Amino acid sequence: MINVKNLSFAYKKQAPLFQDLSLSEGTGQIIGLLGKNGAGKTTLLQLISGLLTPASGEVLVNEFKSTKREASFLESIYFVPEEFTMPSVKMWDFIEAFIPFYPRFDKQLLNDLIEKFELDQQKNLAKMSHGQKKKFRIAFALATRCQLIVLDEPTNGLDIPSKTIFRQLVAGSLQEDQTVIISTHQVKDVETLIDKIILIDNGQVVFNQSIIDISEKYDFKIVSHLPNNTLYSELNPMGYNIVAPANGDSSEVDIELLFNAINNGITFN
Amino acid sequence: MNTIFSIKRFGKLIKQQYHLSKKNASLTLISLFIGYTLIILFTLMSDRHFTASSWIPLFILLCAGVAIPFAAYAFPAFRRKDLTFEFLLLPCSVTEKFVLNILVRILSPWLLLPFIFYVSSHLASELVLWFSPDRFLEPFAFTTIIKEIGTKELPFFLTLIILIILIIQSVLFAGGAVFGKKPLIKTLVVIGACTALVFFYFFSIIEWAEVFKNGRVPWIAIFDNKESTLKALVIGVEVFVLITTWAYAFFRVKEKQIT
Repeated sequence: MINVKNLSFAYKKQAPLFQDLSLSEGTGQIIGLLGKNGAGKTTLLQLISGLLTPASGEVLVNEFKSTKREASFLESIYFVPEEFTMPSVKMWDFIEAFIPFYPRFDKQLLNDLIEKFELDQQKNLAKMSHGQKKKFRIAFALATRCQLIVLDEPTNGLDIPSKTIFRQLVAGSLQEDQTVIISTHQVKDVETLIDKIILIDNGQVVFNQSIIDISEKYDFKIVSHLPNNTLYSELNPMGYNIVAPANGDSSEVDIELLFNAINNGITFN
Repeated sequence: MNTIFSIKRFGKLIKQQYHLSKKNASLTLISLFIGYTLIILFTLMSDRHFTASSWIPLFILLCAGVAIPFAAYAFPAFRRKDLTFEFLLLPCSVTEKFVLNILVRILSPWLLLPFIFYVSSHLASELVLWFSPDRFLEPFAFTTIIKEIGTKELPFFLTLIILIILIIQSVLFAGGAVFGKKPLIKTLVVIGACTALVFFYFFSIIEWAEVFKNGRVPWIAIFDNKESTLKALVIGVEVFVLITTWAYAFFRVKEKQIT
């Protein structure tokens, strides 16, 4: 599905952001792309989408070279950026304008998603609040049924109930041949949604594992006293949040704790 | 499906533009009609003897005054990063997006502006004659322009004029593809600099290098001085400049990135 080969990239007059980065991902997963501010999450998504050209290396999505931006490639990818402008048209004008470009578009699904997000179909898109615009774009992205859906900071601007609905809709609307990449720094928002975590730092993938593997290998829990086998811990009002090797049972992964642990140099194999 | 140009996809693109721009396009055309009518009305009111040939400068001024900046602001998506993003990811080939911009920004003014001018001029003429019937006022007709050029040289001069206007539009159009902010001003500055350079070059070879003195002949004089050869040369150069400008603009659009 996504094949990044020896990718190097630098913005003009800046130090290289990626050097020799390689990544290979299959279909049918929801990937959480995590990283500190400035780590290059959005840049990597733009490179995957063909919006930027790498200095060296290549990005293949479904065997399409993304930099060529062929129409067939663009039909199979939908990118919801963090910031965007909506045209000053009614929702259905927008839908009628863009539906023909996406051969797998599911109008019924869009209707359902619009209803669940409680969006007013008669409203001019430009006059909607940022959160409403974002909900509409997410709904549209899911309804395209594109094989690759890229969501850059999708929960920014969403209220708490909408974040819950977002997680339910993303998890419930996908087909087996679809892949979603969610880039976020609000890891709590996607904790119960993602199947896999990719963490980038200093231009490299420093962590790439499925949630199931992590939960089987490591224990995430709150304890009052630190056990000897603790890999990483953080103080909390009830004691400590810890990561320790699993003792046979699988536990729910605390992505924020995992993220902090990796950024503090803890290695998870 | 064809990766370079598909009629089906191009149809979708036109339909998309219709859905997104129908309101703005209608408002623009209505505003142009009102603007043209008012300007023509004021011009006619200030001249009691308005002959057929008096329409020509007004026609050129009003059509060029709209068509030139309109071409310079081609690829409006390139003015803002978020719109560039949407433009690049729209599932169409670069050729389709480019052709649409050529049609809308360069060719559509050739049909719409003369039509609006024609209707406005007749409406304004009727209003002026109704208000003041004793004045001399010949109505506007496209044949007046043809008559002014003269029938003998018509094919050559018509081609020459059309190509010159297309080149001006296309250079500004290319500027719209290259410059994100203030494309009209920046393109005019670049054209000004290039023109100055060309003039300086010819000035230097003719004046300083004294190329015409002592029987020397510059390279520009090597062509056979027959009128037909010169005409063919002029048209050939114009077509070459036009194609080069479009090719340059196309590759700038093709290589466009989010920056």
